[in-house]
Amino acid sequence: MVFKKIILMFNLAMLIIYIAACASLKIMNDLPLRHPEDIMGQGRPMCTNCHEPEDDTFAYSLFNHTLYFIENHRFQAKQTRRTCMMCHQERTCNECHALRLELNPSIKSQAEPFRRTPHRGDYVSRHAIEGRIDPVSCFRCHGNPKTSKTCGSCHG
Amino acid sequence: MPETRKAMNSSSPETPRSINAMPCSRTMQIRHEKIVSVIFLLFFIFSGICRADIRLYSETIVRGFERDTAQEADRIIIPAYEYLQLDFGAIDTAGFSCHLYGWGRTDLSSSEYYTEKVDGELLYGYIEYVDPSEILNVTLGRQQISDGMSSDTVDGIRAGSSLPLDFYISLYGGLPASPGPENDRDGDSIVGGRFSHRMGSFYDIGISYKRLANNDIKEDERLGMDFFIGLPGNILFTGLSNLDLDSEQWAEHSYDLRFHLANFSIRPFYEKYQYENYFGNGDSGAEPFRYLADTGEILSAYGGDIFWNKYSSWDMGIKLKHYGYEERDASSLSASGMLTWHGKKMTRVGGEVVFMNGDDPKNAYTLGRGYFYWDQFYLGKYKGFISGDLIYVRYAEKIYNKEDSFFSSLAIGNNFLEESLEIKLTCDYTAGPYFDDDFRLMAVTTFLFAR
Repeated sequence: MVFKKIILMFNLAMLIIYIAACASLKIMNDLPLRHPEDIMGQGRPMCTNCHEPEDDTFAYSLFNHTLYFIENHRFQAKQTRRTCMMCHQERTCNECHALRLELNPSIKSQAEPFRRTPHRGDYVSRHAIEGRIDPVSCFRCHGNPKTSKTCGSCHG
Repeated sequence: MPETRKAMNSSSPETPRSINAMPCSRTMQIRHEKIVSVIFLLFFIFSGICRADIRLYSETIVRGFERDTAQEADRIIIPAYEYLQLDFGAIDTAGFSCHLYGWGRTDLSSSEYYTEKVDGELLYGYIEYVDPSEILNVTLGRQQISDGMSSDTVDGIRAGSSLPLDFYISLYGGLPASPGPENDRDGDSIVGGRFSHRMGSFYDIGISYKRLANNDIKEDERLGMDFFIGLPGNILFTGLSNLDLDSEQWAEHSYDLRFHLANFSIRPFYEKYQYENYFGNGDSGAEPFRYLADTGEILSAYGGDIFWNKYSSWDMGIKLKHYGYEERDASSLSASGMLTWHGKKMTRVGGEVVFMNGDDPKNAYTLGRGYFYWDQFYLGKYKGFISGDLIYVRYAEKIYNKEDSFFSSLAIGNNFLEESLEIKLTCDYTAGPYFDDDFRLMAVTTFLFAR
């Protein structure tokens, strides 16, 4: 068992060295680490206000923070998280998608009602309906042993 | 008082058992956390000496509310939280940097309310290296992984890099942070990664893999695919699929199209979930969802959202979603509409209506909501904000003999020290099936220091 673990760790280390070696090659990188201009706190960020919707380098319209962006951003975050990190910090994701927060986002950001956090209002009364209709939406945040402890006090 | 209210206020009965379980693992975990703490402390001192970038974000929250505890009815509970974020090193540039975020809580009212809950959590804590060409990124420590179909917090290592010919690869491995000694679990490991190819705005197609094992015995193995394809006419086709490799059955399909027509942004979508494969029923699964896996249900959802953006100061949107359940042979429909006006900075006034309707009347409700956020609001010589929120819900079938619920909140806040310090006060009121009259107060102080 220990031997298997050593082999696994060795393979992982070799893959990381391989990635590092590849990174040393001359590769074009079209995304900077940080957005050149600070656009936080200036209202809803719409990338296509400054960029062409789909120029040859990037599909900017995918990242427009439209009215429904908070509900539909899963795909963008999973595919090009680096783009999100150009403006946001790691904490932004962890305000909702963390291991165990205790205070859910609708309580923490109660003073900012425009955020449209999913548990806003008397959600405890609605949650049974939402859970029956679309349990997948619950699972995305409460689907591991730690985060599901929120559910466990009643449904354990 | 409804029985469920009492149930909600008691903590999980599993916790005391699990705290005493696996003493060896617990000791190892504590030792591991100490080592990590020392490494971070040394790095922090080193960064201070080298005058590296430092960013500190503190959010102190004090709440006040009334609950029934096992010992006393109508007990006043006053928890105080500290959410702390610390970044130091080369934060916004290539090089080494450290990132920490976690929270802790103390109960100022010395009640029994939190007795069986943990008092804090390290949400993430990792060292990051970005090479000078900004192509290679390596992170070591507790981190959130969201590569392709993965969505896990891992204590381990992740490396991602652009490759020649527009390929990209990311790999990760370590211990999943979610199951652990407090869940009576030990010996878990997780490995995975994503390999993709991108061509500008034309497409990005990725394949991702994840394997969760317990003491070398495979528990869950998944293969995912994600893509966006730019179609003619500025139409974007995006999608995700997730294959359970054990059963060789699809767990999830989620696809949508995004396009513009005149001043409308339109997004039709289709989703399909097989509960048995999506929720999983292995030991690492989460309890309320395990039984859903056994139902064999298949959920198909389709619909669309339309967003009108002719004027930059107005947003209007409509969303429809139809849910179909194969096993139950039932369906539900959700329809919602929103209207928002944008003023200066973050100023907003908005409203929303939601109609949820199902074959079963217990799954139906109507929701109405109105809110405002007035930014740049002057309180004396200080610039701050004032906000409010009203939500009313009417249920088609009574819940605990109540047919509706009402929620309202009011908040006021001010900035000081060139906006690095903010103080917010919030109060809210709820009346509904679970609470007859529930008042809550909250004071939040946020402080940002950056050098």
